[in-house]
Amino acid sequence: MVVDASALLPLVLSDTSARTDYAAAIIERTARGELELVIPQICHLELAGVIARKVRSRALTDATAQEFFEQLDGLGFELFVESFRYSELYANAMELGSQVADAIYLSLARELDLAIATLDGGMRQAAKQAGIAVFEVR
Amino acid sequence: MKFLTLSDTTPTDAARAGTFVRLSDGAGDVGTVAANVSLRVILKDSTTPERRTASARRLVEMARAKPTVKTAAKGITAELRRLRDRGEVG
Repeated sequence: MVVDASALLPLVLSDTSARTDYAAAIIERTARGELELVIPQICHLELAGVIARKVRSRALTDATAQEFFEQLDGLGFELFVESFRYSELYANAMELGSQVADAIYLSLARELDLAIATLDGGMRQAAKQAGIAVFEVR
Repeated sequence: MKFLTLSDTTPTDAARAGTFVRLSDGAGDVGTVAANVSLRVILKDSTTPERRTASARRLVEMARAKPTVKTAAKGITAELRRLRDRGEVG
Protein backbone atom coordinates (compact mmCIF):
# COMPACT_ATOMS: atom_id res chain seq x y z
CA MET A 1 0.00 0.00 0.00
CA VAL A 2 1.25 3.46 -0.87
CA VAL A 3 1.19 5.79 2.13
CA ASP A 4 0.76 9.54 1.95
CA ALA A 5 2.50 11.73 4.53
CA SER A 6 -0.92 12.85 5.76
CA ALA A 7 -1.59 9.31 6.98
CA LEU A 8 1.61 9.20 9.04
CA LEU A 9 1.80 12.65 10.60
CA PRO A 10 -1.11 12.05 13.03
CA LEU A 11 1.15 9.51 14.73
CA VAL A 12 3.16 12.32 16.23
CA LEU A 13 1.21 15.55 15.67
CA SER A 14 -2.23 16.55 16.86
CA ASP A 15 -5.26 15.62 14.82
CA THR A 16 -8.73 14.31 15.53
CA SER A 17 -9.08 11.00 17.34
CA ALA A 18 -10.51 9.43 14.18
CA ARG A 19 -7.50 10.45 12.14
CA THR A 20 -5.16 9.29 14.86
CA ASP A 21 -6.96 5.93 14.80
CA TYR A 22 -6.51 5.76 11.02
CA ALA A 23 -2.75 6.30 11.29
CA ALA A 24 -2.46 3.82 14.14
CA ALA A 25 -4.40 1.20 12.17
CA ILE A 26 -1.90 1.38 9.34
CA ILE A 27 0.95 0.78 11.75
CA GLU A 28 -0.81 -2.03 13.61
CA ARG A 29 -1.65 -3.88 10.39
CA THR A 30 1.90 -3.44 9.17
CA ALA A 31 3.19 -4.96 12.40
CA ARG A 32 0.90 -7.95 11.87
CA GLY A 33 2.31 -8.43 8.38
CA GLU A 34 -0.98 -7.52 6.70
CA LEU A 35 0.47 -4.51 4.89
CA GLU A 36 3.72 -3.64 3.15
CA LEU A 37 4.22 0.10 2.99
CA VAL A 38 5.49 1.86 -0.11
CA ILE A 39 6.38 5.54 -0.26
CA PRO A 40 7.74 7.88 -2.92
CA GLN A 41 10.69 10.02 -1.96
CA ILE A 42 8.50 13.09 -1.67
CA CYS A 43 7.03 11.49 1.46
CA HIS A 44 10.42 11.84 3.15
CA LEU A 45 10.58 15.50 2.10
CA GLU A 46 7.10 16.24 3.38
CA LEU A 47 7.52 14.44 6.68
CA ALA A 48 10.87 16.08 7.36
CA GLY A 49 9.55 19.48 6.28
CA VAL A 50 6.49 19.43 8.49
CA ILE A 51 8.34 18.00 11.48
CA ALA A 52 11.09 20.62 11.15
CA ARG A 53 8.46 23.39 11.14
CA LYS A 54 6.88 21.96 14.27
CA VAL A 55 10.19 21.65 16.10
CA ARG A 56 11.13 25.21 15.15
CA SER A 57 7.78 26.47 16.45
CA ARG A 58 8.31 24.43 19.64
CA ALA A 59 5.17 22.40 19.03
CA LEU A 60 7.34 19.28 19.04
CA THR A 61 10.64 18.49 20.71
CA ASP A 62 13.73 17.49 18.79
CA ALA A 63 13.90 14.28 20.80
CA THR A 64 10.36 13.31 19.78
CA ALA A 65 11.10 14.13 16.16
CA GLN A 66 14.23 11.98 16.21
CA GLU A 67 12.38 9.10 17.81
CA PHE A 68 9.55 9.36 15.30
CA PHE A 69 11.95 9.03 12.38
CA GLU A 70 13.84 6.21 14.06
CA GLN A 71 10.65 4.23 14.63
CA LEU A 72 9.43 4.86 11.09
CA ASP A 73 12.73 3.43 9.83
CA GLY A 74 11.98 0.29 11.79
CA LEU A 75 8.81 -0.38 9.81
CA GLY A 76 10.74 -1.32 6.67
CA PHE A 77 9.28 0.99 4.06
CA GLU A 78 9.93 0.38 0.40
CA LEU A 79 11.15 3.73 -0.90
CA PHE A 80 10.81 4.69 -4.56
CA VAL A 81 13.44 7.23 -5.53
CA GLU A 82 12.65 8.57 -8.98
CA SER A 83 13.93 11.28 -11.26
CA PHE A 84 10.78 12.42 -12.99
CA ARG A 85 10.79 14.51 -16.12
CA TYR A 86 8.80 17.72 -15.84
CA SER A 87 6.68 16.55 -18.78
CA GLU A 88 5.75 13.39 -16.86
CA LEU A 89 4.94 15.32 -13.70
CA TYR A 90 2.79 17.71 -15.70
CA ALA A 91 0.99 14.95 -17.58
CA ASN A 92 0.24 12.96 -14.43
CA ALA A 93 -1.06 16.01 -12.57
CA MET A 94 -3.30 17.03 -15.46
CA GLU A 95 -4.63 13.53 -16.00
CA LEU A 96 -5.34 12.95 -12.33
CA GLY A 97 -6.73 16.42 -11.76
CA SER A 98 -4.49 16.95 -8.78
CA GLN A 99 -1.48 18.91 -7.71
CA VAL A 100 1.90 17.65 -8.88
CA ALA A 101 2.92 16.46 -5.43
CA ASP A 102 -0.35 14.56 -4.98
CA ALA A 103 0.04 13.02 -8.42
CA ILE A 104 3.39 11.50 -7.47
CA TYR A 105 1.68 9.43 -4.77
CA LEU A 106 -1.33 8.64 -6.93
CA SER A 107 0.57 7.65 -10.05
CA LEU A 108 2.78 5.33 -8.01
CA ALA A 109 -0.27 3.61 -6.50
CA ARG A 110 -1.87 3.30 -9.91
CA GLU A 111 1.24 1.93 -11.57
CA LEU A 112 1.83 -0.66 -8.85
CA ASP A 113 -1.92 -1.42 -8.60
CA LEU A 114 -1.87 -0.70 -4.88
CA ALA A 115 -4.29 1.04 -2.56
CA ILE A 116 -3.35 4.38 -1.07
CA ALA A 117 -3.59 5.44 2.54
CA THR A 118 -4.30 9.13 2.80
CA LEU A 119 -6.27 11.48 5.00
CA ASP A 120 -6.09 14.33 2.52
CA GLY A 121 -9.54 15.05 1.15
CA GLY A 122 -8.32 16.20 -2.23
CA MET A 123 -6.08 13.20 -2.68
CA ARG A 124 -8.84 10.80 -1.62
CA GLN A 125 -11.20 12.30 -4.16
CA ALA A 126 -8.62 12.20 -6.94
CA ALA A 127 -7.78 8.59 -6.08
CA LYS A 128 -11.38 7.49 -6.28
CA GLN A 129 -11.86 9.25 -9.61
CA ALA A 130 -8.77 7.47 -10.93
CA GLY A 131 -10.01 4.07 -9.73
CA ILE A 132 -7.36 3.79 -7.01
CA ALA A 133 -8.55 2.06 -3.84
CA VAL A 134 -8.34 4.16 -0.69
CA PHE A 135 -7.46 2.44 2.58
CA GLU A 136 -10.31 2.68 5.07
CA VAL A 137 -10.51 1.71 8.72
CA ARG A 138 -13.63 -0.20 9.65
CA MET B 1 8.00 6.00 -19.43
CA LYS B 2 11.32 4.17 -19.48
CA PHE B 3 13.05 3.15 -16.30
CA LEU B 4 16.65 2.08 -16.32
CA THR B 5 17.61 -0.60 -13.88
CA LEU B 6 21.02 -0.63 -12.33
CA SER B 7 22.07 -3.41 -14.68
CA ASP B 8 21.53 -0.98 -17.55
CA THR B 9 24.06 1.42 -16.20
CA THR B 10 27.19 -0.16 -17.58
CA PRO B 11 28.43 1.54 -20.75
CA THR B 12 27.80 -1.65 -22.71
CA ASP B 13 24.19 -2.00 -21.60
CA ALA B 14 23.54 1.71 -22.05
CA ALA B 15 24.86 1.60 -25.58
CA ARG B 16 22.73 -1.42 -26.34
CA ALA B 17 19.63 0.32 -25.01
CA GLY B 18 20.37 3.45 -26.99
CA THR B 19 20.66 5.50 -23.84
CA PHE B 20 23.52 6.91 -21.84
CA VAL B 21 23.98 6.75 -18.12
CA ARG B 22 26.19 8.93 -15.96
CA LEU B 23 27.07 7.67 -12.55
CA SER B 24 29.70 9.04 -10.27
CA ASP B 25 31.70 6.95 -7.84
CA GLY B 26 32.93 10.03 -6.02
CA ALA B 27 36.16 10.17 -7.96
CA GLY B 28 34.65 10.92 -11.33
CA ASP B 29 31.97 9.96 -13.79
CA VAL B 30 31.70 6.31 -14.64
CA GLY B 31 29.07 6.74 -17.31
CA THR B 32 26.72 9.16 -19.01
CA VAL B 33 22.95 9.41 -18.87
CA ALA B 34 20.68 10.96 -21.44
CA ALA B 35 18.60 13.77 -19.98
CA ASN B 36 15.29 12.54 -21.32
CA VAL B 37 14.86 9.31 -19.42
CA SER B 38 13.52 8.67 -15.95
CA LEU B 39 15.45 6.77 -13.37
CA ARG B 40 13.98 4.76 -10.54
CA VAL B 41 15.78 3.23 -7.60
CA ILE B 42 13.82 1.14 -5.13
CA LEU B 43 15.28 1.08 -1.64
CA LYS B 44 14.03 -1.18 1.12
CA ASP B 45 14.59 0.01 4.66
CA SER B 46 16.51 -2.62 6.57
CA THR B 47 14.57 -4.04 9.48
CA THR B 48 13.69 -7.31 11.21
CA PRO B 49 10.30 -8.66 12.27
CA GLU B 50 11.22 -7.96 15.88
CA ARG B 51 12.26 -4.40 15.18
CA ARG B 52 9.18 -3.82 13.04
CA THR B 53 6.93 -4.99 15.87
CA ALA B 54 8.75 -2.89 18.44
CA SER B 55 8.69 0.20 16.22
CA ALA B 56 5.00 -0.24 15.49
CA ARG B 57 4.20 -0.61 19.17
CA ARG B 58 6.15 2.54 20.03
CA LEU B 59 4.57 4.56 17.21
CA VAL B 60 1.09 3.61 18.36
CA GLU B 61 2.07 4.56 21.91
CA MET B 62 3.27 7.93 20.65
CA ALA B 63 0.04 8.42 18.71
CA ARG B 64 -2.09 7.63 21.76
CA ALA B 65 -0.02 9.85 24.06
CA LYS B 66 -0.24 13.04 22.04
CA PRO B 67 -3.19 15.42 22.37
CA THR B 68 -6.05 15.33 19.90
CA VAL B 69 -8.09 18.16 18.45
CA LYS B 70 -11.86 18.26 18.19
CA THR B 71 -12.19 19.65 14.69
CA ALA B 72 -10.43 18.40 11.58
CA ALA B 73 -9.63 21.96 10.50
CA LYS B 74 -7.26 22.28 13.45
CA GLY B 75 -5.45 19.00 12.82
CA ILE B 76 -2.14 18.31 11.14
CA THR B 77 -3.85 16.82 8.08
CA ALA B 78 -5.57 20.10 7.30
CA GLU B 79 -2.37 22.00 8.02
CA LEU B 80 -0.43 19.76 5.63
CA ARG B 81 -3.00 20.49 2.93
CA ARG B 82 -2.60 24.21 3.44
CA LEU B 83 1.18 23.90 3.28
CA ARG B 84 0.96 21.85 0.09
CA ASP B 85 -1.39 24.36 -1.48
CA ARG B 86 1.11 27.12 -0.73
CA GLY B 87 4.07 25.04 -1.85
CA GLU B 88 5.64 25.37 1.58
CA VAL B 89 6.20 21.74 2.40
CA GLY B 90 9.15 19.58 1.51
